[in-house]
Amino acid sequence: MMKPCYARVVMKCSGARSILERNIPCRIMGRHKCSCLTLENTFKCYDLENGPTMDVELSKDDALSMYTQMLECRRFETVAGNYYKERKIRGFCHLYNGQEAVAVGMKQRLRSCDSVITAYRCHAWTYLMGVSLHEIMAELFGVKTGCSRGKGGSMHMYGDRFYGGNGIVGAQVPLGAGIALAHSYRKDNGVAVVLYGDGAANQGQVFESYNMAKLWCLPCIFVCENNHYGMGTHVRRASAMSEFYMRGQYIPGLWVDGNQVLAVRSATQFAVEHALNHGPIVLEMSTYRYVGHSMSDPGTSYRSREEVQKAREKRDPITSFRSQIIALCLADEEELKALEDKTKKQVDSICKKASTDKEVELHELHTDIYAKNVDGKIRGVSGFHLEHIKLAEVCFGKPKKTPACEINDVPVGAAIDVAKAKERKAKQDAKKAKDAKGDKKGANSKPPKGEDGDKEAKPPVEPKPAAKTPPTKAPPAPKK
Amino acid sequence: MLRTRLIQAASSAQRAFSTSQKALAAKQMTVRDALNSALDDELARDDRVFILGEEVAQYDGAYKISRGLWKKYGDKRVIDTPITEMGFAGIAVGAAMAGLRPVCEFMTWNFSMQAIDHIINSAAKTFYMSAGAVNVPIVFRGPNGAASGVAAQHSQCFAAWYAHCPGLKVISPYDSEDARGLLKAAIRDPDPVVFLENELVYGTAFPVDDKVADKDFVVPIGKAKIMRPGKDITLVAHSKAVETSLLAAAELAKKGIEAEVINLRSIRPLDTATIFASVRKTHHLVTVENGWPQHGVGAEICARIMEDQTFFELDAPVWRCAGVDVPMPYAKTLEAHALPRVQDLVEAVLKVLGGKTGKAAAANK
Repeated sequence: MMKPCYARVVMKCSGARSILERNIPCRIMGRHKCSCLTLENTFKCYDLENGPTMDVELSKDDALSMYTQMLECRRFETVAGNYYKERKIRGFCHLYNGQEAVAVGMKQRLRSCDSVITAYRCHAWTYLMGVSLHEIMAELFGVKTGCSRGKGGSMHMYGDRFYGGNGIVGAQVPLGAGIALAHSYRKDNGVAVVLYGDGAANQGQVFESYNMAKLWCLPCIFVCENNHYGMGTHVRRASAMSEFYMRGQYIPGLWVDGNQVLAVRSATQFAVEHALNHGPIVLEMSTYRYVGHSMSDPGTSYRSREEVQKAREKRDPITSFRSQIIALCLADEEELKALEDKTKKQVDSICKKASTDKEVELHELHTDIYAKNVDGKIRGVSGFHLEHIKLAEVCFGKPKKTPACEINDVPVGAAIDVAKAKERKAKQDAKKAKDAKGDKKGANSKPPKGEDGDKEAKPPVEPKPAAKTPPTKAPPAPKK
Repeated sequence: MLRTRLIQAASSAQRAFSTSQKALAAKQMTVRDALNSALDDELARDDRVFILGEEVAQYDGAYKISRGLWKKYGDKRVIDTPITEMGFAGIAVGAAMAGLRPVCEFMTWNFSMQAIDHIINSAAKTFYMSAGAVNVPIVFRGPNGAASGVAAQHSQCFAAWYAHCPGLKVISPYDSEDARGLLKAAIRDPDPVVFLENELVYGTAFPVDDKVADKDFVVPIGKAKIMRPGKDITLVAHSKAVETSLLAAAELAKKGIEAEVINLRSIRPLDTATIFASVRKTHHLVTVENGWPQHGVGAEICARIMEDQTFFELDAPVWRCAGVDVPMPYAKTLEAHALPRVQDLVEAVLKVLGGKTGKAAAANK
């Protein structure tokens, strides 16, 4: 049973002025735009001749961007945990505190054509794949502006090329292999990153996926996020063999210190190249979670507080990266402190704002069950009275998500008639108001009463007394 | 011997009610060819369609449904999988999420239980959970229900199981026209579809119109078909039970009872409009299925008719004829008695009608 190894970083300051090796922070030399460093003890290879590069370059921009992302993820999860305790968030809530480096580091080297699928500990990944923090927090609250309009919850968030968010342990692995198959089918040069935990790593379907991925040479990166606990069970009690990067047997594997964001980044670069040229690869990211499995698990009944404390002190991805940035002279203490304060405030305010959003509406209950509903009505509790509403646009099987700002209130059932009557009345009032003004200009015949139906009939500019058919095309912008 | 007689009887039962000469001279198409040609058309029409399953490619299909397709379209479009249903069903669903249109074959629907988590949790629920962001345009297909002598683990009917779940569309075709049109509709549909075929009718040739051979011939999902009009009693069935119903209707006709036979075609959504319209005409209903009775298709139809005004049109309670509530036995006689036979249906109909003959029934109307 491998104990997690801590990386020792030997830093080489190669800024604009000096190529000497130093072991002390060089504040005297001034700030650097970019630094190099050599990673140590961060990789172990299985069935691979060469591993990822250990000499990595880190620019100031990248450093600050990664640092900010990790801070945002950490703060967001903390805030979510607090809201959960206040009962504003319900059901499942699996937090990523301590594992941020895996998501942030990997995303740095994924390209826009790559796909990602993960399990239920997905908030950080959802954010990094392009869904705003506001939408994620709103989804946790179950409000209208959530990324799944309140219908998915913590475990079912989706984004562009991000397929969730999956609740069933291990199910995302064959799904991810299928996404890799789609990349290979289309020859679009993308890879699929398929994440799962040490608990899921023993699922049969994972091995079925390994088999087919290897047989068909799919561009698939299997990533085991080994936080050493499957819910309350330590890996040594769950897995007969806990070297998860070797479990692929006939698939090459790579163990990575998942709390070193630079190591993760380098490993991802390597893995993407491997997947594109040689087929599947299994990565094991050795990491740790500070919180329990979910909000209903305090996380202390199966491990000691000292263990958690030690992990926070020795291996925290954020504080260790912070030290690296300072030691590499990419930023100084004040800058980072300012960044931390700013990020904390921003995340807090976004989450606060999300908590004031409007609750999801009742008609969502029977909205978007099918992309193409052929049934008459949906059965309610006591009878077939619910109409299937379609809000999302699905075009030729390629779904287009309806952004929150475009979702309108859609009345249902008897309310449709009431709403239409209101609309008609409002239009007639508007017409009357206009006629009252227009009367002064000349005799106008009464505008015909339009048979509204479902058309957005605009009041005709020149009233045609003989016209009975409503305009089939929207009339050009009426002169006002 | 008995089988060919049954096939002939079924065909003649249909032909007897086709009024045009054209129908008699119409093309014959087996269900196997109907499915094969449907797959062929859809593979040609849309690049995103591909087939995967056990033995679908180089073996030409375990039941030869995909015969010739691998030769024509190659490894990319027709993929042989290892015997890992959970894995390859998951892979198919993932590919569908990513925008392809897989047709995932289960060698029989009994093996779908290995993969049922992917059908329900990964395919059916995703569109709703993602509020329409991700749809899953997949078709799961394969032979369903009892075959011949394959015993308990290989004879279960899954119509009720899958039709229970919102988010899925469940189709159960009977003849070639159904098979071809519905498979094409299913492949073109943007939602996950469970397509329940029947092994025993694969080899049966049915007369089909010329329009069935058209590249764009599609049968709409969710609409039942009246196979045989009648006025005394309605028989509602799906898949193989339609054949039993037609044969029973022929028997009943000799007794002067005109039974209306409805072929459901779709289990979910259920075409209650057609059933209710028929019941308004005949005032009696018997549902026929080969699956088990508890929580089955017939049970659903009974419940729905009670929830509708059409209940008041009934002159007698609805009756269900279903498979006997036991795991399927192997021995031939036992197996034959485990499923509704023609005489079982005829007896049930006579009981529901209260033992009246056709004439008396007509006089009472």
